[in-house]
Amino acid sequence: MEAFLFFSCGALMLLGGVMMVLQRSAVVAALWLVFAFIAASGVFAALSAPFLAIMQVLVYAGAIMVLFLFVIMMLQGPVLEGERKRLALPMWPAVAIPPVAVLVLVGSWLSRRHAEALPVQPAGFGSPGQVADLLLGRYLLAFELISIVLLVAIIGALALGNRERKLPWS
Amino acid sequence: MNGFIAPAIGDQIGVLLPYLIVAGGGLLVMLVDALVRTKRKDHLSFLTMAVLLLSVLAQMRGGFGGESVVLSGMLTVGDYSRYFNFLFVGCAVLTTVFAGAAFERSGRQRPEFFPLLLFCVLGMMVLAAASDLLTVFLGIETMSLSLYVLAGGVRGNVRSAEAGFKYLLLGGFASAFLLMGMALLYGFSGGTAFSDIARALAAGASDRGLAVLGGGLMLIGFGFKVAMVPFHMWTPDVYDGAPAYVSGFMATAVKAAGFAILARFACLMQPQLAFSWYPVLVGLAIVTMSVGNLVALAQNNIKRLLAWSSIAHAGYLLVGIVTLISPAAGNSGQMMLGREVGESAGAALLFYLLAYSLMNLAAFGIVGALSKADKEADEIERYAGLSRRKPLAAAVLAIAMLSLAGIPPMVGFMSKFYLFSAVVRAGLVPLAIVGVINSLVSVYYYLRVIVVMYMKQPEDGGYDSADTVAVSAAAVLAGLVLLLGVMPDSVHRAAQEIFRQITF
Repeated sequence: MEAFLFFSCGALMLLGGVMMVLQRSAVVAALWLVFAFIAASGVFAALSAPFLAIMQVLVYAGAIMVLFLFVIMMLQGPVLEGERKRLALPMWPAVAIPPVAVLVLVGSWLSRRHAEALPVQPAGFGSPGQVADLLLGRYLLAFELISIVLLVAIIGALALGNRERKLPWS
Repeated sequence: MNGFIAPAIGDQIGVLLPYLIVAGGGLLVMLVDALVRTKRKDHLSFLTMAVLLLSVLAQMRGGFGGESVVLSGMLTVGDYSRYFNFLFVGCAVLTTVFAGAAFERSGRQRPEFFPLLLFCVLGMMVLAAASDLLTVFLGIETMSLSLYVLAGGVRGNVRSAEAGFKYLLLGGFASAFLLMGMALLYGFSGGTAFSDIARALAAGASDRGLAVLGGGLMLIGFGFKVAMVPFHMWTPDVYDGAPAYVSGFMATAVKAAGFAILARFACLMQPQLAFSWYPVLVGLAIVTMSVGNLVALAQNNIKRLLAWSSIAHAGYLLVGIVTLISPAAGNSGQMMLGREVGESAGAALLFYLLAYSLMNLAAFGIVGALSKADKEADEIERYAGLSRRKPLAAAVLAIAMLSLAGIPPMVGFMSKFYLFSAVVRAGLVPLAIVGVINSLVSVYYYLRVIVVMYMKQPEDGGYDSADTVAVSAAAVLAGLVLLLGVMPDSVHRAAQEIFRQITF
């Protein structure tokens, strides 16, 4: 059951990714990305990580992508009209890749069915408490470094995006 | 994993102090900028320097020798990472001087510059000590994100914006390769720590192909950061478009950070993957040296010339890595770094990075000192007659060029001497011959700059104003280039000592 969920969500995620790249309209592309993110949360769920699955939907598919959509719509959603020809040329991957990917996934699923069963996870695996234990214990340094990376990204966005090139604090 | 973690960190705080100082310093500089409202911003560069020097003191506090694994294996702090931290901090201090001088001259401040520089140094310090795939990735991202903004953030300068954007796009692409490689290695070994990977490799797990593929993809990611040849295309454009003080920092500290992790990673992957790693690295080293030097011959823009020369030097440094992991340096089990060859190759690598940073910072420093607010001093032809107009600047640039070409008694000669003698000692004579031929080719384009400065008649429109502060800082560097060229022994012995005690 987990394996079936894993492979079908994986296939949907690939489909979402490919469709996102091939869209001409930024809004539709963003919606496909939401689709891919939700499929990714299914993958997490299949891997017995319910907390991550919920966070994936809440944070990525929910908050971040809604923000993206707002920004795209405020910028009048650029549609790449001028490049229609060049974009139209390699349309065959859109047709070819998803079935191939599905075939690969189904094949690997069929072969895996006979392999050893997934290891049984201990009780409470993937619960918020365990995630927090890891984040603030073993991965403390990574956790703190990510906050620095985000800070750098904020400073950079302010410095580059502000036309006056004056940071709010100076 | 359960239990409260604060006491465990308490023991390690001494080792982590330099990292905390640099990170906190970045926040502090930002706050001071917000609170102290003055037109001049001198205090920011002084504060940045103070933070950097304080981190050096914190480094030396615990004395030298010994490696300690901290934060559940995320970092391995020892003399190896200390050496690199000194190098990064040194480069950052000089970049602060050059940048401060440039801001002063142009009258345009960049308030984001100093905090981002400190965060960039933090990323590099993490990278040089990283012993877990997670810390490698986060170190690289902290460093790169800061660099994108440092390179692209000059107000109203289209070429700087272009440089930053190109670096961002290609850097993001390279990060994707790195991350994919990490994912495959994680799948192979079931852990992200280097020790897990070493254990899985030693156990001879069945999915060896995963490790080869993962290692190869990570090599692409690192290759991008150090400007290795098939992944070098961004280098000339970014070094050319970014302001000279940022280009100098990217060519020295960033390259050193890339090689710090590349050397560690190559040693980690080498023992069991000799068949697939070694020939690839040899080929990359040869191609990188040759392409860098040959294309540099045709450059008329000094920043592009220095960019191609930095690609060529990445090739020489790769030769050092090849020697470090060569069969002669011991290829069974852990790296036999007690052995003579590995030791001399490692020492040569460390010494080369120091020497290269000194001379390259001096060169970029002079280019920056001659630059104006809206126009960088990049056309080689307009350096004609500089020896008469600005004798000190011309002399410093000449010393840097001679050193880059590897002519005694500059430090560039000694670094190449150590490197190629380690190569020969490892029995890789053909590689040494290719390297020496390459450095002979490179003499042409380095000397051309000197010929233009000293022997060509000055024409109108030559560069004629130089920033005193920046030139004197570069002169100090040139003095170090000469001093270390004559007396390289103590530093080289220290580098040897580092590799004597190390086990990656």
